[in-house]
Amino acid sequence: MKILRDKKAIAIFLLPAFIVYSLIVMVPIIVSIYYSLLDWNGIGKKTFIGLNNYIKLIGDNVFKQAFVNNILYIIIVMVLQLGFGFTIAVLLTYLKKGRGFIQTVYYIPSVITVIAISQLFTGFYSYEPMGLFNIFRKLLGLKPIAFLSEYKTVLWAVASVEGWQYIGIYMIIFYSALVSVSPDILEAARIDGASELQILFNIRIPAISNVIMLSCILSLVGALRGFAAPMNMTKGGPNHRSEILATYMYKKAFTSRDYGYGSAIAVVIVILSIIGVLLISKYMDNESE
Amino acid sequence: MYRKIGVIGLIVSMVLIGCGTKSQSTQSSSQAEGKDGGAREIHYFSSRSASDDTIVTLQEITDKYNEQGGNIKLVIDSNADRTSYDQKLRTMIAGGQMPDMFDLDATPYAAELGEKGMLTDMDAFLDEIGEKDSYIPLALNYGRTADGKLYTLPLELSTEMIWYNVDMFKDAGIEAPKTLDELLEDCKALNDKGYTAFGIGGGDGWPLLRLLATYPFRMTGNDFLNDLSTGKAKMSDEPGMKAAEFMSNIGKYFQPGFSTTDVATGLNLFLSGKSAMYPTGTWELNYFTDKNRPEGLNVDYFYMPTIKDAKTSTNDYWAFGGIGLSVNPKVFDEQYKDYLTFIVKNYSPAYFAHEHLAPQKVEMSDNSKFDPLFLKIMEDTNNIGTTAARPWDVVLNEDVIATINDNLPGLCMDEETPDEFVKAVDEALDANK
Repeated sequence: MKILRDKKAIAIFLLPAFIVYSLIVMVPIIVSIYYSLLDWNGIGKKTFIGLNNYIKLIGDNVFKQAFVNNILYIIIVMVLQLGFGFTIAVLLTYLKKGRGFIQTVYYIPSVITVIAISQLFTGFYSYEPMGLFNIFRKLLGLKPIAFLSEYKTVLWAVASVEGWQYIGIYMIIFYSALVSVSPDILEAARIDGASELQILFNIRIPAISNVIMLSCILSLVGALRGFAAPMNMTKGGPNHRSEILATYMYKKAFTSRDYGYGSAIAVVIVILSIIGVLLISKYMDNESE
Repeated sequence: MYRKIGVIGLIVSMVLIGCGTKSQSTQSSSQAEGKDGGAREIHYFSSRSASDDTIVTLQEITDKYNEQGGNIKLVIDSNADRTSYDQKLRTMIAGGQMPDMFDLDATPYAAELGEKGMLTDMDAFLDEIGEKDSYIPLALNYGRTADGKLYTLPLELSTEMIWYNVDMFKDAGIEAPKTLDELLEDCKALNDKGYTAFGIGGGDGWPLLRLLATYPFRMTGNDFLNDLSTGKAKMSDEPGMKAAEFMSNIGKYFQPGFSTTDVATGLNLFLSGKSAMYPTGTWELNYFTDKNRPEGLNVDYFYMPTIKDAKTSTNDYWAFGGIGLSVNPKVFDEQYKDYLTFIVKNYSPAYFAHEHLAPQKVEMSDNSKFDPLFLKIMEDTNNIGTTAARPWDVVLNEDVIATINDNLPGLCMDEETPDEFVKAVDEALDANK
C-alpha cells in the first residue's frame, strides 16, 4: 500500500473517473450555461443575448408558478417518503413475525420504473373508467373526483406518486438505523418507566439523527429531480397547476423550441439543487459539532 | 517522469477512444449498408403506430419494389404519441441527426427547415416524375407551408366529424345539430337525461383545438387563423372571443377528467355507450363499421356545425392530407429517388384497398367489397366544399399552440374566464411575432 502515499499515483488513479465525470456531468452543465445565453430555436442562427433569458425568467408568471409548485412538490414528496418510511420502520421494530415479507412488499415499488408507476396511478386516479381511489370514495359514500384534472387535487396527486414509490427505501434505511440502537439502553429506559413514545422521541430519534439528515438529503435531491411522473401523468396541466421547474424547462426547450430559455431554467434548477444540498450539509456539520 | 506521462497519456487516449467509437457509430444511417445482402437501409421515423395502415402499405410497396429488382430495407421507428414524436424529431434535427424519411406537418417549423434547404422540395420532385396531377389538390395542398412551398407528400386524405349515439339522441328527443347553438342545446338535453354528452380526448390536445377553431372558421373561413399567425389579428378580436366563450360553454358537457383523457380512452367511452358524442376523423372509421362496432350500438355522424351568417358553407369542414412524408435531402440520391418514385406511383391504390381515402385519384372498378359506411364517407368527400378548415396546430407557432393547449382545459372547466384565456394567448402571440 506504499503506492497510496504517493499523491501523484493517487491523482493518476483518480484521473479516469474525473475525466468521465467531467464529460458526463460538468460538460452538459457548462454547455447549458452557454446555451442559456443564446436565443436559439434548434435550426436557426444562434444569437448571443447575454442575460436576457434570465431577465425574462423574472417576469415569467408560469415560471413563478412552477417554482412555487416545485417547493410544494418537494414538501409533499419528502413528507410522504420520510414520514411514512419512518413510521413503518418504527412499527416494524415491534413486529416479531413477517418482518421480511412486509419489507419486501414495501420495497417493490422502488425497483419499478417511474413511468410504469405513473401509468398505474393514472389508472388509480381515473374518473371514467372509475379508478381504484374513486371506487374507495364511492364505497365511503363520497363523490368521485377527477384527481388529475381538478386544480385543487392535481399537484397532490402527481407528487404523491413519487412520494409513495420510494417509501420502501427510507423504511429500510430507518429500520437499519433503529435496530442498531443498543437494546440495553432501551431496556434501561423501560425499567425506568419511560413510555414507548418517550423512548422514541428521547432515545431513538436522537440516536439516529445523522441517518435522518442523510435521508433528508437523499429525499430532497430525489424530489428535485422529479420530472417523469408529472410529465407522464398531466404534462404539467391543467393550466400549469402541476407544472414544476423540470417539466417547464422540458416544454420550453423541446415543445416551444426555445433552447436558450429552456437552458436558463435548467441552470436555475442546478443552482437551486446545489443551494439545497449545501444548506442541509451545513446544517449537518453544525449538528455534528 | 516520462513513465508517468506515458501512463496518463494511455488513460486519456483510452477514454477518448471510447468516446470516439461512440461518435462514429452515429453516422448517417442511410449510408450504412444493411446486414442482409447489402440492402440500402432507409430509416423512417413515423408519428403513426406500427399497425397503422399507412405504414403497412409503405411496407407492402417496399416488398413489391424489392420483388421488382429493388434493394431497399425500410427501417421503421414508430412513435405514435404525437407530442413526444414532435419533440424527438426536433431534438434529432437540432442535434444534426435528421432521419432519412420522417413525418412532418406543414408548420412554421417545416417552413424554417425548408428555407434552410434542410427538406426536399416535393414540388420539384413531383414535377420531375410527372405525378403532381395524380394527387387530389385538397390532400396535396394541405402540405403547403404558409409561403406555398411543398416539402411533404400526403399519405392519406382525412375528414373529421362528430359521431353520436343514435339511441341516446332519440331518448333525449334531439337530432344531429346543424348549428353550434343547437350543439349546445343538444348537450344540455343529453346532460338533463343523465348522459355524458362528450367523450373527448382532451389530454391529446388536438380534439379541443378543433372545437376551439370551429367558431372562427364559420365566421371567417381560414382568414382569422392566417391573420393570427401573421400578427394581423389578436385572439381578443371577435372571432377569438366567440371561440373562447363557446369553449367555456361546451366544456361543462365533457366527461370529468377530460383534460388527462387520451383519444383512445375517449373512443372507448363512446363505443362502450358511456358518452353520447365523440369527435374524430376518418382514420378511425374502422371502429364504426357494422362489422367492427359493438353489437347494439347505433351510431351516426355529423360534420362541423355552422353558425348564423356563416362565411363558409356547410360542406366546408375539416379535410386534409394528414401529416405528410418528408425526405432528408442530404441522402436523397438516385437510388432513394427511384424508390420514392415507386412509392408515389403505387401507394394510393394499395392504401385504398385497406378501406381508407387515398391522397391520389384511384380508379374504383368494384365497390361491392367495401363497407357501406366507407362508401358513404367517400361520397361525402366527393361533395366537399372548396374551403377546407386548416388545423390551428399546423398554422400557428408551436409556443402559441403550447399556450393554448395549457390554458384550454382550464377554460373548459370554468377555472379560467374567456378574457383570461384570450389574454394568455395574445401574450404568447406577441412573444412569438
